[in-house]
Amino acid sequence: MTTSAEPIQHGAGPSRQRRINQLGLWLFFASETFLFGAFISSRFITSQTSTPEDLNQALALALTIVLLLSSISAYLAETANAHDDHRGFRIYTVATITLGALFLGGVALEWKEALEYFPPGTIYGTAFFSLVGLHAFHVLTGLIALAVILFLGKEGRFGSKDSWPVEGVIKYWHFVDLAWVIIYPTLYLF
Amino acid sequence: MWPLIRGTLSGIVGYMVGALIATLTTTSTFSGEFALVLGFVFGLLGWLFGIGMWNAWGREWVGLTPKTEKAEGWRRYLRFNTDHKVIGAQYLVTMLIVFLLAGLVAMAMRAELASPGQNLFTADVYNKVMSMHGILMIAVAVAGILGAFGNYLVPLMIGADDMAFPRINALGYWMVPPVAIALLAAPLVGSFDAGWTAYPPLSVLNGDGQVLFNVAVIAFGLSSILGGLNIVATVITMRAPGMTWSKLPIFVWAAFAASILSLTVTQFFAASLIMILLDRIAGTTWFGAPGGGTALLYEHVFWFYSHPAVYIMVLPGMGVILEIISHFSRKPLFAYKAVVVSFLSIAGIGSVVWAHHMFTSGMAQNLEGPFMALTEAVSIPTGVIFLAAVGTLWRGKLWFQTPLLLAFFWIFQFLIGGITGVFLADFVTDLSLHDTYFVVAHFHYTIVGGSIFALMAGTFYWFPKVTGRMYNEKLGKIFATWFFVFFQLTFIPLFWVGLNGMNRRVATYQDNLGGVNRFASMMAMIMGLSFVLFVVNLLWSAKFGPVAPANPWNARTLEWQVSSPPPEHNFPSPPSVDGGPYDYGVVGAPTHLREVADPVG
Amino acid sequence: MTAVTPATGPGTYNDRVRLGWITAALLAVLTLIEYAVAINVENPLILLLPFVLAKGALIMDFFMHIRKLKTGGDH
Repeated sequence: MTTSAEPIQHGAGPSRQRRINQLGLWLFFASETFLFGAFISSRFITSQTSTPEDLNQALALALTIVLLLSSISAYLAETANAHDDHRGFRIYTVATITLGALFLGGVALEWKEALEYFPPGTIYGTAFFSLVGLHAFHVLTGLIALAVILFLGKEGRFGSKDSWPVEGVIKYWHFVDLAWVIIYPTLYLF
Repeated sequence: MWPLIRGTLSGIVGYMVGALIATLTTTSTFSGEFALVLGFVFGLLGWLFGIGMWNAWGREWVGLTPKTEKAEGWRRYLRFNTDHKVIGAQYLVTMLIVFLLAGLVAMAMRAELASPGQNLFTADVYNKVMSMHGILMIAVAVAGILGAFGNYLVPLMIGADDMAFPRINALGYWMVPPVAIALLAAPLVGSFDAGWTAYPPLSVLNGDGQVLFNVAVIAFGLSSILGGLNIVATVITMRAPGMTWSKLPIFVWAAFAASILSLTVTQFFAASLIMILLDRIAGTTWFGAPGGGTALLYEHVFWFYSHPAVYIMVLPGMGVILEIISHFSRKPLFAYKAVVVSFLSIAGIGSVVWAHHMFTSGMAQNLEGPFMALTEAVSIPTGVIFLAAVGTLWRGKLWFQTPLLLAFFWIFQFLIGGITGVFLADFVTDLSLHDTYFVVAHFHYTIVGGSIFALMAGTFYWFPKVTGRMYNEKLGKIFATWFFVFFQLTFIPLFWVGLNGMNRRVATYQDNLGGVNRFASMMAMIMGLSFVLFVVNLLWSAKFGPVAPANPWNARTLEWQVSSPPPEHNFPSPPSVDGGPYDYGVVGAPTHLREVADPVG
Repeated sequence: MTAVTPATGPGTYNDRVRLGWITAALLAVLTLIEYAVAINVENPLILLLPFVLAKGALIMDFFMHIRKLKTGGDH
């Protein structure tokens, strides 16, 4: 039985392991794309491009901007970590988590309104709650992962010498943002 | 045993917590549908952490050092073990047990169908039995070869010492037992009777067992996705020096192509089942006509996975059979490159033919022609694979051991499956054949032929490698012939009753078909009995069989160049690859494993 | 630690930070134009596609470093 401390391949260096991890993560993204793809295409099949009049466009745009801001702060956290700026890493990770939580709060607010105007029992509401819920679930898992690297990295454990855990989590965060880039026009902009 | 007990306890606690949360936050009762969902999710997490994920993995997430629990002998198999060989053996044993169980369920179905009326079961119970047989067998076909041989052999065949992600691999396996338990426990909460396809509106309206079915199959899909991801990453990154893409053993190529499919399209099955859960629990209306939804959507999303799933089942089987045929005819594999292209194009074209399952569903009629044409196009690469199998056998020096015998049977079975498939792919004939026993017989020829016969052939072929002992050749051949002959006697009559209008998924049928059905049922029982021989042979040989040499078949591929069973990290020294894997009888061809002057020093 | 780092590619710390902000600004501008187009045009499906593709490409390249997939991120 191998332990995590042992190398995966005979004479495998950290750079080989990083390459394997990176490939694995991108394969996971490819797989997730199909999950989002299933729901996005189903939205078009059942409700075409119809959107209700009562959509809160201002709130949706605000959510989009919040997520974009969290993306740049995640990028800054990753860059800070890679340059051994541990303080910057912590600050920007906390900022990312805050913005992510703000996004979830915004979604909760949006859902409260949506339950009145287009509940899940309507055909648009079905797509809306399913897709936004699926995305919010991913945001939540991303927040948990960010909290873990913030906790583990509190004493400067990662830095440039062990940057993969930070990079991996932040790539995931960007992926969740990428999903929103497609979901946003799918649900709101028609 | 301790990890299993620990896993079970924390799984139960997890279930209770999940169900309690559901009860407290919603109007669901403690055994209500939402409680079942949350209970399963938390129970699954509890089980996984308890069995060893916490020690081997989770501790890292809170800053502790992971602990490895060492174990020897059979105890290795009962814990969170990251050795790909242990995981492969775990999959093989689990899947064979599930296969035998689902086979018994099939015997019960044939007992009911032995005469026209409702005999053994009521119509309702029959539907539940039929659904159980379906989903269990689908699981075996999906994860049998890919889970068992894919995990055991891919790293060995490419000269790696483990998979790319050993812990994800162990995680994938240990998700399977809760899935099996949830499926088998479904009768406690009303069972599921919508078949393995779980079409709405029935699957939105039936008993709570359907909820367990959905969460269990979603978890199984996740396990399948993680397994596929691991194999793809392993083949891309872990090949030994000299193991170029054109020297990859054909089984590795097959597993690679199938893994790309299971990595991607499986998400659509998950999506379709999640939509059903949302319709049932969250009040959405994906499939509910009153709210504007359409059940046709389910069929599209579901078959977008479930047709390629046929290739997830069959591609690894093709790999196993071509592997065996080349080694046992002592000839290079015919048209290696064409076979590789065929594998990849089967995976590609196979992903865009799904709607041929829906010719009678009321979908847009202008789609029928294109889907028919694409479906028939799949037979071109499939034909190439037949050609490669026959071309390799042609003028070969055949060594008729049990694996080769089963490979011959495979060719016959899959040929029948392929030919009868043409009539179902053609929407004109499909209109009258759809939902009859013709489909049942075709499907069983394809999947039992394509996947199960290959699973059996592979089990015999690699049995010496896995256990270190030889199986009994005579018993093996008797079993193979017995299984094959009675399979024909069972399923050829079913083509006939199908043509005469017997509907599938129904407990009763027309009186005039009673005789043929009674015959098929009797033959099915005898076919089922053949597995006594299979089990006895394997169990007895694993314990008392003659000790196997490292390479009993004189094969060239890397897994046979190490001891039987292989040492803990597969190769005593880092291997590198020289000649091709199938250069049998090629004058002057270098060995596949590069010979080192002093391998130990 | 200066110059080449595995995480984000070549350039000094300040260069990398500036690149991130430029990317984010581009994304913000694209989002706002996308929104304006969608609000003012009837049936904007085809018009929105380029925005989605451009934004996706920016995120995958500059934020997710997809090009590092080939080299494994080292050097």
